[in-house]
Amino acid sequence: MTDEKQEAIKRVLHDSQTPKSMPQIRKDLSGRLRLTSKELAGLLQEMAGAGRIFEWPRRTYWDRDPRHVVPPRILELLDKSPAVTPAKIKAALKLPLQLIHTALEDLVRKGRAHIWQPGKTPLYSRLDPSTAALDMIKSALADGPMTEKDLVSRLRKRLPGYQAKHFRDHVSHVDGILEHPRQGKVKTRYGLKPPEPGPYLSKAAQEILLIHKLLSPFHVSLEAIHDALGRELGLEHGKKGLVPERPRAERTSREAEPLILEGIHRLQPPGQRRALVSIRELRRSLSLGKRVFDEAVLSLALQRKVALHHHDFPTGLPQDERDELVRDEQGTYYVGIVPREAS
Amino acid sequence: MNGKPLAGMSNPFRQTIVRDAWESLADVPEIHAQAFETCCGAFENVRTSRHCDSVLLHGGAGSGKTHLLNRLRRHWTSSREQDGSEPMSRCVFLYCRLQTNPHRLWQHLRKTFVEDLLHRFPDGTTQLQRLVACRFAEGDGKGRPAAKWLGWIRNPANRDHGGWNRILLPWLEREARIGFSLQRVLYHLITGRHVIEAGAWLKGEDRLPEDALDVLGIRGNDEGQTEDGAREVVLSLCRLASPLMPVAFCFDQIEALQTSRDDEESFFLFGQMGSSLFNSSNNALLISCIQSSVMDHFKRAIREADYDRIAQRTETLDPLDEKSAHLLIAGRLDLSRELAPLRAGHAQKPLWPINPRDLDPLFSLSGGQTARKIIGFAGGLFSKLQTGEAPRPGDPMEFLSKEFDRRRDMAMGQDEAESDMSLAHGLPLLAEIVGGHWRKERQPDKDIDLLLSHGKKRVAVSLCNQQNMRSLAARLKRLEGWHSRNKDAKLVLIRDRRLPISKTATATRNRLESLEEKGARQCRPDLDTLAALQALRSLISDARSGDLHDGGDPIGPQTVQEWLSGILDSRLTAFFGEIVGASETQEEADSEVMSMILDVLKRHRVMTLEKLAEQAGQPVALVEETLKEHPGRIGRLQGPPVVLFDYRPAELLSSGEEDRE
Repeated sequence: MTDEKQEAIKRVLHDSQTPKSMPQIRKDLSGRLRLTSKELAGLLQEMAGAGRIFEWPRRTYWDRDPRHVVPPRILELLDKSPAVTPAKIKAALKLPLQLIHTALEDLVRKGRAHIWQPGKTPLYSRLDPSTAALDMIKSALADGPMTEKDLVSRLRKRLPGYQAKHFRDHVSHVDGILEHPRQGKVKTRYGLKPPEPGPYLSKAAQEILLIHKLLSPFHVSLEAIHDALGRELGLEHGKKGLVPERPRAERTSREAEPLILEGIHRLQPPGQRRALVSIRELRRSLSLGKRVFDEAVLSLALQRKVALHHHDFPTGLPQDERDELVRDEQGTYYVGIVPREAS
Repeated sequence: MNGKPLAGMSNPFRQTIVRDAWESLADVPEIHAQAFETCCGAFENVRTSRHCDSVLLHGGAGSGKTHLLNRLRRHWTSSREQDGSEPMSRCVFLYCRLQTNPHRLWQHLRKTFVEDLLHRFPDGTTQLQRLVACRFAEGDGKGRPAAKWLGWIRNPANRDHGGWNRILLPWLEREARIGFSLQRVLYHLITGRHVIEAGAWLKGEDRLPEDALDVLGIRGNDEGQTEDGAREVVLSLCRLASPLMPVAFCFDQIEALQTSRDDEESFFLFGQMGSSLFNSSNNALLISCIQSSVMDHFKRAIREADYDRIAQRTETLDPLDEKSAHLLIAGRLDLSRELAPLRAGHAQKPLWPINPRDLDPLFSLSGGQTARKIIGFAGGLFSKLQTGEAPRPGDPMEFLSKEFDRRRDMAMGQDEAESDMSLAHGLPLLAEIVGGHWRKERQPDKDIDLLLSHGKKRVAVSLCNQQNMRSLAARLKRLEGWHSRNKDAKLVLIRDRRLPISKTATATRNRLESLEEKGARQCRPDLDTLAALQALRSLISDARSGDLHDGGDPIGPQTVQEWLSGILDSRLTAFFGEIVGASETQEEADSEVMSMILDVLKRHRVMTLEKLAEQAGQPVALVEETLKEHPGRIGRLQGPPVVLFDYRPAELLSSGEEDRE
């Protein structure tokens, strides 16, 4: 008879979506069994002792082990938020802090969650803070150099509480991130490539333009000034040293294809390979020449590596907006690009 | 191929547009399978995590967004019970096509929610009944399945069972935290009493007379329907469901919310609504469909935080490659009963009678085409096989003309509640087409539905189509307050001519008189005008969503707008003229040059600026200057060439005035 009763209790707990208190179990059993509170308490203790059911907080019982149920729920929650405090997890899951802490410690030990502690309160995240920060920094800098302030504010969206000191700490431990020097109005910036000299030359350029204005009554052209400047700086035309790297705009469409695929991936939200990317946004992020970009995009489509989405009514767009799209030989304008669906 | 055997058969590719996710359709599950899986993943996530989730679906016009929603609807609402008895829903499915005024999004969603909640399945049950049966089963200690509860609910013998009062009302109050009026209305709908009245109230219609409210056991709301009120009802209805049976909100044609190509506010408001649904419930799945071509605009217009909530997951419906296209075509051909005996003789050729090589031109450069284009193309090939001739491309202008007439005729049957929605959505679109110099301004108050400005002139339009006199009086009172604070704006009150103001509604009449004394003007469009406006708004919305075409390429909103401004439906231009004419003073109307211009326009109705100046014997610059001073009388279409027309043709103006008398 006791076995039958235990079986009935087990079935009630098995069908339930949450742990149940003793009065709830008694009520659920009322159609099948009549048990006194004392008898039910005894049975529950016995079953819990035998590991057939598990005691949950606030004197509730369930047939599921908290050690197995709570960690996946925490992980689901962490998947949705960049970093969360234990108190928030407690509020979301409606479970005691003690249980949350135990589960979090276990997850951290197994490397499935990480602690991020920018202030007094520790936060928990699926991301390893320093690795994630470095990835984010590199991904942000792939678009071009940025100031510390801009980088920190971008990182703060994913890692709450992220501060400049964390940034300096993270950057100091990694090779490949270059600190571009400050000069006049040009602020200190960080980049993956050496700084472009252009911004540093704005004052010099203004002075050269003044000189050009001064000498223009004598028909001295800008080209002549440029030549003289080269001589003054000890440079000669045609020397390779003048062109340290071939600009992106000059690359061939074949060379541009991997850049485009990388660019698409970078512009998609993390883990969403099927998110459509705007051609305009992609073009702006890559700074390739228009012809090279367009050819590379169409070539990738022909190779079935990407799918292109066309604009139905391009004639309704102003010319400058249309120029930002990709146009094929048939006059179709493409507005979006996405890696092809796996077949 | 001898075409004769096919002659007289109906073309299996005739239907190219899926209007609704509730339609019965043939399906090819292999197409857009990944997007389908993503939506199902999000759905399961809501059930297990007890948190909202969302999917943003991108795709070109005709790529199959609505079709995918249709597949999801079938998947979620017709899964069988484990014992194989009755089909039971796994969610509350809502299909919301966003052809509405963005300032009435919540009201539109409320109406759609209720209509879909009362949607009847082939077995005669409604979504609401299935939902309640599932909730009863969830809370049933004896573990009786939902199908059994559904049978009990539908049994007329149980209609007066005491259990309803004992269980249902306390459950609605305690578990679903639903307010008194809504509790009573749901109680009636679930138990099958006063279904029409309760349904109308739940949809937000204010036409219920006092005795109907008494029957329902509730009191009227003086404020009428508001966005806040509609939002509260929607969120309350969400609470009826549990995370185990989520509410799947499927928003289609987001782009149709736009009143012009540059309109960003409508996307912003959609983002706010989506975010609010996401934050205020734990059992909502949001699926939003948007055209790829407005993706940049959409992202720019809405808040980043709102975008994150609407697009927890993003999916793209790619153009179909050849393999998928063949599956699609074969699927359509297989459905034709007339073709079946002939196709049986060509088992090795799945596309028979179509030659696969004839499809090659479709897949030349980009390697893909939208499903609609493939179906249209295959339809053309089939037609050629039937008649021996390729179908001749139709004239888009002729098509638009026929469509406009067809839609206007259909709209003649719309009731007063629908005409209010037509006005709310259609007026900004009408202003866009015939407004000329008039600019739409941001809505300054919840009681002002449209604010137009031209120089220093401002015309504020308020729709006053309340059928309940108390609601109308309350609105007029608020308008009195607004008007006293905004004396520079001319107030125009628009009310469907079919809606009388009852003789006993003294307060309403007094307020109306008081407003008119202070300069407000009443405008009472007739059914013909409202039907034309409805045709206009549905044409433009369909064009914006890429759903307007005559078998070939879709017809764009710009083409439709140009065509509409070309035909200048005299009732609509006169209606707009009546609205903006309120801004004109007597002195302005009596100007000498103006009289000359009107005299010429009275004879020719529509003409270019240069021709008009020539006929009036005045310099072009002077005519232009005069027109700027009379924005309420003369319509102007930006050229080139600039075209002018009288907003109020004399014959209509006089008949309108006679009507008023």
